[in-house]
Amino acid sequence: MKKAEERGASPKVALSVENLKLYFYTSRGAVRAVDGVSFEICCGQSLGIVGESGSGKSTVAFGIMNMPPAPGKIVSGKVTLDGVDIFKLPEEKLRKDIRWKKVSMVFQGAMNALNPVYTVKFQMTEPFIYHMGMKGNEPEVVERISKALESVGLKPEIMDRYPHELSGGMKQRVVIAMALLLNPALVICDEPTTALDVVVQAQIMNLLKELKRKTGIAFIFITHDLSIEAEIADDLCVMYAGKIVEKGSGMQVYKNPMHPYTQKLLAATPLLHKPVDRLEFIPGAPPDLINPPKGCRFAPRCQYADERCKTEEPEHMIEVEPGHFIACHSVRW
Amino acid sequence: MNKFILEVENLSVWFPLRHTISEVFSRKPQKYVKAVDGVSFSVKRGEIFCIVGESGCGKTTIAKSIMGLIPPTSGTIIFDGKPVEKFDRKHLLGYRRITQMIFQDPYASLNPRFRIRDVIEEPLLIHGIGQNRAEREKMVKDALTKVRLIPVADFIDRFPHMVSGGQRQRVAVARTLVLGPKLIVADEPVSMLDLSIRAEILQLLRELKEQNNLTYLYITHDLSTARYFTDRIAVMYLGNIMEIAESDEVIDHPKHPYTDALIAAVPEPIPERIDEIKSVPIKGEIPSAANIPPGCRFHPRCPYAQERCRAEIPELREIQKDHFVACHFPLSK
Repeated sequence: MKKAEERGASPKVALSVENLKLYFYTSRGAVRAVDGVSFEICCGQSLGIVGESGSGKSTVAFGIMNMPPAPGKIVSGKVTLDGVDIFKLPEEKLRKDIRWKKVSMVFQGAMNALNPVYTVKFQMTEPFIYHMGMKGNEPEVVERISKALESVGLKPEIMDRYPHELSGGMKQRVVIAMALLLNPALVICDEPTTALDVVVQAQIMNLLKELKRKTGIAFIFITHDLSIEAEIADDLCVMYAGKIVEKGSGMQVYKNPMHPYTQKLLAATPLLHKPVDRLEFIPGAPPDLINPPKGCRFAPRCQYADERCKTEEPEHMIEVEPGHFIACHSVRW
Repeated sequence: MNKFILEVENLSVWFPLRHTISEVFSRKPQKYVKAVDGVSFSVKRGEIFCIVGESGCGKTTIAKSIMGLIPPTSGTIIFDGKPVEKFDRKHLLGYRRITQMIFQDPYASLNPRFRIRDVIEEPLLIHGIGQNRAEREKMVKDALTKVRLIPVADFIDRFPHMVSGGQRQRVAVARTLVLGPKLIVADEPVSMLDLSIRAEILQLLRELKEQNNLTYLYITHDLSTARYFTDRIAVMYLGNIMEIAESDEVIDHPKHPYTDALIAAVPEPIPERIDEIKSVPIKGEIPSAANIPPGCRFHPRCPYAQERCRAEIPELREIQKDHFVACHFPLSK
């Protein structure tokens, strides 16, 4: 986690999340989708959040923008973005000055995030109208749209086209360009390459790496695929059932996973150039988050779990090496 | 007994495009989307044969054609030495019993109003297997035991929404097994599942193959699971097969530039080299199957393309034992 200074980038903290809790209130009870998540990102750094479906990784993103999807509610926590406490701001100010201006998002299935009946230019003009108080016909707007499109490797001419005239990879680039339009401090990419073919995926990954280096924007990458994260994220958080179970630099987590869940997840990932006879898998299914297990949430599926794991929640993360934390009772290192 | 359970010879599946009145009057030729365009391959008894390719390359169309769901435009499909097109009604029903398909999305492929019992009993009713209810119930229970949804009594009366994604896919597998198939076409059977349970399903499929003398045609876009799970791989591009060889051979010594590019694009985490931009040897995206380039259909994206590639279609030829490539200038890796 000290890499920022080594590379000479500014160590200024772009985002800090402290003990964020976001519950969904359903008729059956509160679903503890995000339950006490803390992390921070420096400017120009990238953080990967890895987790399986239902682990709460996308919900964290909505929490950061104070935009809990119904019937969700933010229960507690503090989010500081670029020095501003998000949860203390009124909704109107949040909408105008924070969302998209300070933090923007590349949504999951971005190919469908574009409106099919408007041109790319029309859709890219909207942020200037709503957030900058512009009319949308200024030459500056066109100029900034052209620049944004060029920065993602597209020709500015495509701004007059409709989404159906673009290929999947081009649409993805347009969506990324839209996220960069207002020079945000933080861009959240939720599964940015999941719907793409491998070749296009590799192209988009290269683009994101380049943008990260050039712009000094902090990135959060949310995916279910550890191997994609390890390619792009400086720091990694592994989420399981609404909690972060392991965090550290990409190298630490990927090369030296300490939490039993991370270890199993890595052992379950087939690697192209490392043929194995038998892949591991994790028996069972993630817990019901309305009635999570009393102790560690991974205990029912964990081979190392003992009595303590089943009764006592690992409240505090232990530092197993500098900058590398896990939430686990039973691992001895 | 024939060594090959399935032989596909020169299979083409073309879908006609809309022909407008003015085109009819001006006698323009009918245009087609050539989803599958002259594909030949053979699947050995008891092997796991894989078709790998990007979206839109025609891999699912081949699967549906083999299942008799889409009639081929030309070419023959030979099952167990007999051409499928010559089957009469009675034989066709028998053919459909012994070739079964597992679909990608277990959330969509199971009827939400059927209990698991009904889902698995349905094929028995269609094919008139089992004298009475008790006998069929025994078969259903056997199938559930085979896919290890045990204790059976816990699952048999549940609805699909009451079980997890991995369990649903097991139900889909049990539904095919109950008919005693010989060939199972598995179209991306694990791509919708979480990483931690993918390996479990693949392992189950492999064990079932050994126990029941099955042959699999496995269709995927994921080279890593293909290498782990299958014996031979055919790489498809834009309706044609580009390369066929044993799985390890294809991945370790690709001969076709397209295969080589696909392999290079697979994310391969080396956290030490996080800032490096990975070289992706091919540019752009897969063109439309309505407008196939002349000559080798890969030449517009191929880094090694020469004059001959633009003019002459390369045949699929055996360049070393059991390694077939459709390229004028195969790589020597």
